[in-house]
Order: sequence, then structure tokens, then C-alpha cells
Amino acid sequence: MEWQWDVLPQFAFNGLREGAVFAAVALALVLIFKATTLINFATGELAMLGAFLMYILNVEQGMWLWLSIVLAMLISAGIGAAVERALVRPFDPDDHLPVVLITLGLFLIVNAVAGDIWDYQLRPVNEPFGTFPSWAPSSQELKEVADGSISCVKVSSGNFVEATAGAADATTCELAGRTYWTILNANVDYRTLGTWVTLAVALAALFMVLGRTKAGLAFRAVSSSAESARLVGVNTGRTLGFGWALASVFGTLGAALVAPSLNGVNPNMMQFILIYALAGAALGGLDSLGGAIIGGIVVGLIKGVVVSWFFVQVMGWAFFSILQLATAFMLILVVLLFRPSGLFGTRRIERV
Amino acid sequence: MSSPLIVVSKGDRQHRQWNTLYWGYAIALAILVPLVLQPFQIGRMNRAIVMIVAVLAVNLVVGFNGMLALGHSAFMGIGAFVTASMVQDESWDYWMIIPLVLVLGFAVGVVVGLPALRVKGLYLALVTIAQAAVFPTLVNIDELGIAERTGGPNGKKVEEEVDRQVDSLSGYFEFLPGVDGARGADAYRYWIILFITAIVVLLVRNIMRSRAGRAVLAIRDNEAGAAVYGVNLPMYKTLNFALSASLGSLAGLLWCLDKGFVAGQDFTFLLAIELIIGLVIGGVGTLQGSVLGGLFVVWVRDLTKRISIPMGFYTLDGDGPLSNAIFGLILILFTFFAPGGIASMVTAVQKRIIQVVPLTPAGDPITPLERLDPGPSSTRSAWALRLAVIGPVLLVIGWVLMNVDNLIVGVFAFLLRFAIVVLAPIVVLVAMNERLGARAGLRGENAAAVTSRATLAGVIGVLSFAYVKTFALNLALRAHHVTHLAREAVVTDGGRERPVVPLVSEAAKYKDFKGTPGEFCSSGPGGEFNDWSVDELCGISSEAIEASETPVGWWLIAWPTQSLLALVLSLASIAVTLLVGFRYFVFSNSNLEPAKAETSEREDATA
Repeated sequence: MEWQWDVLPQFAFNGLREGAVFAAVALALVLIFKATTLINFATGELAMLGAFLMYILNVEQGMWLWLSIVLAMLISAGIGAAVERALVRPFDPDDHLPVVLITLGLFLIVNAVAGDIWDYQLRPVNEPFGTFPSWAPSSQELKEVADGSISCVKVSSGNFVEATAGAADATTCELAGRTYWTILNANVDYRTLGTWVTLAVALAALFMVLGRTKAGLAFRAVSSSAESARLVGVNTGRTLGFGWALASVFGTLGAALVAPSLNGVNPNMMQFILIYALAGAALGGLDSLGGAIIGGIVVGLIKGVVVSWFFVQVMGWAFFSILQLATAFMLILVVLLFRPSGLFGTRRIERV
Repeated sequence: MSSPLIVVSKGDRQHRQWNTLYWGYAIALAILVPLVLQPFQIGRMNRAIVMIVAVLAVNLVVGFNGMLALGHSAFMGIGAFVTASMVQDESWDYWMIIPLVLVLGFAVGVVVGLPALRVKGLYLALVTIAQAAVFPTLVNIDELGIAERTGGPNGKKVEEEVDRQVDSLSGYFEFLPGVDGARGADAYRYWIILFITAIVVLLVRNIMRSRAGRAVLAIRDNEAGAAVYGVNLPMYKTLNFALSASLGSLAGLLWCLDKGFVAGQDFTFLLAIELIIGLVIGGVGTLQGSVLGGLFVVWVRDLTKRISIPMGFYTLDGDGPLSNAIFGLILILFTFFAPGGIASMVTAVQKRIIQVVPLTPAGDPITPLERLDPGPSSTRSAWALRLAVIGPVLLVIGWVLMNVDNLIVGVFAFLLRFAIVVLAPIVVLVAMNERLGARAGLRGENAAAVTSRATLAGVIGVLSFAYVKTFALNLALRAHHVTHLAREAVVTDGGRERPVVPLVSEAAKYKDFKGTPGEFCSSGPGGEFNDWSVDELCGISSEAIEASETPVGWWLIAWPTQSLLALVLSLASIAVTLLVGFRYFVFSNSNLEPAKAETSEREDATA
């Protein structure tokens, strides 16, 4: 066993980047849970739909990327609210089975229709935070790679694969030299930073909306007690729709930000992310917004640091890279065993 | 028809007749399946029966205990992989693996269920959905010999273990319908799987009637109330979940037995959702629902895969991803409009036909049957006559529609033709009852009209029933006949003699042809299969089938030149049905006199 402290920051940063995406999707789950006390298993698929909207607007229609992301978020908000109105509101929120069935049906439909329209192929998207040019490295850079003063970084499905110094090869090695900063001997690329900043801005906006606007106040009132909110004149139906719309916005944002790391959009892109997000939401507490953010980030860190760094790199158990998803599952079990309401969730006490 | 057509007290003669009918149909259907269906369709039926066990396992948690378990694909996967590994690597017998799989499933169920079930709400759904997503990744672990045993991403093939057993055992099991050379292995699997499934269904039914089962139901209906009455909530929830997990693993074993091949991608989240869809469409919380749902999932998937509707520039193709979308749509539509599933629809129809009045401890009906009688203005006889006529009419329409070359119309035509099977015995029972009622004076001054209507309906009903029985018998005998003759047509393939008909279906499967072997042959496939050119094989097989084909006339009786036995049995069946029927309708029968009842008494009761 060899403690490879030098690469730890790199894994931590990767974990944080992924964690930011998990946090966004977990936030979508929690927003819906707070609004309608149900876990929306179609969250990932609705987010995937949003990413495809972005793909259509940006890649197919040639719209400016950020405008297309914002437009996709708005359209998804409409879709989310429509889904809530048409499919979820007719059911009693205390009876879990029908609403879970609805979300599962929605999952199948959205996934299959997307698969029918776009096939199950990866469709490359544009990088929102500066591109990675694949130029041949200069001889000076190759020399630096060879003696280990910079590392050759290849981007492969969202994870940095550190090529060993000797294996750097002039034709395939993509030097990310001009799009990353080095912090603590780790390469933090623009994409990671951009993801953090974007999510931070979105979170600030979310808390502004929830804390400072009337609709946000109504949402908090309804999520704390729908019955009392209705009595004081809050239009609960519209507020629940608002919650779903907000959730769709965050889901879409997460999917749009993660798409470049997955090398493109694909109807199945959100399925595993949904599981990590579920783990994050369970960890933070299903009814805590802040908990979802922290939970998502912690899940990303666990995935990056505990699994990819400690088990795979330090312990040398390569099979743990398959067990990433299983780790999320174990995390859910452990959380339920020791702190069922999550770290920040409200403890529910039942009176009979 | 506000009141049901037949009112019986529990356990009386008519109720027994009704039950006999019910079970008679079930058994007849079970026997007809391996005889009438093509070998590849038997395989699909096996799959459907496996799904019954799996859906029942889900039902145990979701339907009977009200907890949301969405990840039974993982338990099925565990069962299937353990089975594949033990059979292939350790040469265990399937029978020996059953207890192993049950115990293993139970243990995994406890591990997963214990944390999740302590907490109320959606947590079990969360855990199980994660479990379903995680499972397919686990079989690829290249450590501890796991990938070796599971076959990793390539999946694991179980050598034709069952076929070997068939070869050695078919001597003992040839009495089972369908188990013979032509469709041997599939039919043999069918009977094994059906047998185990029947035991499982019976087991679940009995458990649900036991103390523990009542506790589980009580938890579903009112958790707090159950706790107050001393039900140990976590224990019963976990035990129930673990039992369900072990049944799920058993379904996995059957899956492996049926398919002979297991791979991680068979046990994904999609399978888990499919189980839930089966559960909801069949009917949550009922045994019949699980049975209907399991059958539905496999056969409807089979149907949607063959849908192809060209719509100008776009072809709606059911064989793509869209078959999932259709399933999702069905799930949402059922959740909205028929939350009770097919089982509740069947129950609703059944309630209009028969009402079973429970007995008091003394053995009398709780409500006297006469009080439930609609009296002189009863429309029952009219309904009996209507139903009696509807059956044959639908049959004729079905026969006509059969000639339309369209999948959906074909299925519709089949259902229309099937209606008479259900209607005929009901008509007979109702008509019989009405004649008795009229004779007992319950129909007042309408007695004569009622009697004549009921007699007419009864005669049509008896004839229809005779037709149904003859048809079924002929179907069975003909299929038996065809397989036996077809079995005699053998070709030498790969150095050993093999029956030609299954060889053709193998060739069709090999060429990824979707449809019957007949369709395969008529499509003129060409090419090679094993030692033969496919066209040549098709020629031999169609000759063999033609030679064995019984010419079937409009009245569906096999000609004696082909099968004397079929003729004798058909005629005997008609004779018996007619004799028994006319005994009720023409001759008096003092046994069946209902208890004396005055019409005025009934009116008092309603007033």
C-alpha cells in the first residue's frame, strides 16, 4: 500500500466537480419531495430531455450556448409544471404507490421516446467553458511530460486519466495546458471551475427566489404544511407546479453541465447520476435543500476520493472502479441504518 | 341487470358447479398450452409463468404489505446467476439449488430490507431502486472469481442441462401432455415451471391466510393500528420482504432454467419496472392479479414488438425503444383509470354474473337466497338469451375477421372467438336457475315466458358449450397428432436423427426471424442451417405437417381417416354435454328444487 498523496487533490477536485452535478440533481429531487412528498424517479429523464433541448437549440439550430441552456431550462420548467398538473396532482400525495407508478411510467416513456428520436447514440455537445484543443504538444511540453514536471492529461468520459509520463504520445495526448489551472499540484480545468461557479450562481438565485419572492414564500409555506397554507389563501396547486418547475430547472442545468464530461448527450446519460443524486438526497435528508447540496457534493467526494483514490489507487483494488455505484447504494443503506432522516432532514415523529 | 345473474350460497350445488367450471377451464388451458402452441411460443409461455412468480414476489411487498419495493430484478438476478453457476460449474441439479437460492434470497432480503423498513415512507423505494441499478454492475467484478462464475459482461450459458434430463427422463414424463420429441424440452420445462409456480401461488395464498399473513395485511391497512394490536412492525415487514426476495430469487432460478442463459443486462432496472407494470396491470394486492400481470407483461411485450404502423414519413415501430414507451403509457393509463388492474375488472364483471352468499356458522346463507331474487319482473332469462346469442354471433364475426391480415385485428378476432368459451357455461347456469325459479313460483305470472326464454337460452348454451368442449378437445388431439406425426419425420443432422419441425424453429431463431416457423418458411428464407439448406428443411417439415394435418370442417370434427380417436372423443363429448344439458332442460329434476319462497315475503323485506 502506497499513500499517493500527490494525486489526492486531483481526485478530490474531480469528485467535487461530479458532486456539483449530483447536488444539482439531488436538489431537483428534494424540491419535488418538498413540494409533493414524492421521489420523482423521472427526474433524471426530465433532465436528460432538458439536455437534449439544449443540444437541439445549440448544436442543431446554432443558438448561442448559454442562451440555449437558459431556454432549455425555461422550457423544462414548463414541462415540469405541466407534468405536475397533468399527472401528479390528480392523486392523493399521501398514497405513495400511484405517484411512484406515474413517475416510473414517465421514466419509461421519456427514455424510450428520446431513444426513438435520437437513437441511443452519444451526440457530442459544445463545451461551455472553453474547449480542449487537441493540438500536438510542443517538443518542450513533451520534454516536460517526460521528466514529470507536467502531467499529460487525457480526458476520457469525464474523468482525468493520468497517463504515465513515459506513455505520453505526441499524436493522442491532449495537453490541457491552456485550459486548466494548477492548484495543489492538481489540474483544475475550466470546466470544473465553470461548473462550480454556475451552480453557485444558480443556488444563489434559488435562495433569492425562495427567500425574497412571494412565490418562494408560498413554496416554503406549502412545503411546511400544505393544509395551513391553503387555509391562509395560498394557491397550493400553482405552488406545487412552481416547485416542479424549479426542480426541472435544476435538473436541466445539472444535465447540461455534465453533458460535456460524458462526451455528449444520450438518452441514458442520467440513469447512474440519478442513483448518486438519490444517495446524496438521502444523505442530506430528503426534505432539506441545503442538505441536498452538501449530500450531493459529499457523494461526489466519496466517489472521487474514497473509491477512485483510496480503494483503487492506494489499495490497488482495481475492481472498485466497478463498485462506484454500489458504494452509493451502501451509503444509502448506512444512512438509513444510522440516521434515517439524513444529516439535515426533519425528523418525523408520528402521533397516533 | 342490476342484480347478479346467479345468486348462490357458499358451497351449495351451483357454487360447486361454478367452481368446477373455473378450475376445469384453468386445467384445460394448462394442458392445451404445451399441445397447441408452437415450441417457441411454449418458451414464451414459460417466460410468462416465470414472470408470474416474480410479480407475485413483488406483490407480496407492494400489494400485501403496502411497501414500495421496486428492485426485484436484483433478486431475480441473484437467483439466476447462482443457479447458472451451480449447474454449470458444480454440476448441481436444479432441485438441489432451490433451497440454496431461497435461503440466499432471504438473507439478501434481510440485509436490504432491515434498514429501509425501519423508516416509514419512500425509503424502501429509494433503496430498492438503487439496488436494481447497482446489480448489473456487480456481476462484472473481476475479483473473487465473481466474473468467472457469472460470465461477466458476456453472460453465462448453461449447457443444455434440461435437455439432457429430458432425454433421460422423458420415458417417465411422456404422460404429460406435450412432452415428446418434437417439442420435448420446452414442454418439459413448461411442466416443471408450472408445477413450481402452482406451489408458490398456493404457498403465498396460505401464508396470507395465516396469522403472519394477517399481520402483514394489517400493517398495510393501518400501521399504527397494527402496532397497537401488538404486531411487531419491523419484524413482520422484514420477514415479508425477505420472503418476497427469496421468491424473487426462485423466479431467477426458473428464469435460468427456462432460458439457459443469464447475463447482467437481463436484470436491469427495466426488468424491475416491468415487474411493477405486471403487478399494476394485473391488480395490486390480489393473487389473480399477479397471475394475470405476469402473463400480460410477456405476451403484450411480444405483441407490441410485432406492431409496425407506417405513417407516411415515419414508421411507428414497436420493436424499437418504443415498446417501452407503450408499456409506460399503459402503466400511466392503468394508474389513472383502472388502479385495480385487470383483476378488479374481472371481479366487477364476475359480480354481475354470480354472487356468492356467505354462510352463517350454522350453515345457512347469511341472507336467504329468495330475498336476493329479483322477483316476477326479473330480466335474467332475457339476459341469458342475449348472452346465449352473443356468443355464437361473436364467434362468426371472429371467424370472418380472422381472414384480415393484420396483427391487431387478428388478436381482436381471437378474443371474439374466445367469448363463447366464457359465455356458454354461464348461459347454461343462468338458464337452469331461471327454469327452476319459474317452477318454484318466483316469477309469478311471467313463469311461462321465463321458462320458454330460459329453455331456448339453455339449449343454445348447451350447444355452445358442446362446441367449446369439442373444439378444445379437437385442438388438443390434433396438436398431439401433429406433433407425433411430425416427430416421425426426422432428418439426419449433425450425425444424429432429429425431428424436422423443431429444427425449422431453431433455424428461424438462428436467423432472428420474428414470427411462426410457418411464416418463416413461407418467407422463402434460403441459406444454410447446420447440414441443410433451410428451404429443403422447410419443404420436408411442411410436407410432414401437411401429412399430419387433420382436415378440419366447419363443425370441427376430425375425420376418421386421420384420427379415429379424435372422432370418437368428439362425438362422445357432444353426446355427454347434450345429455347432461337436456336432462336439466327437458326432464324434471326434483333434486334442484329451491327452497320454497313466497314472493310477498321478498317484497316485505324490500319494503
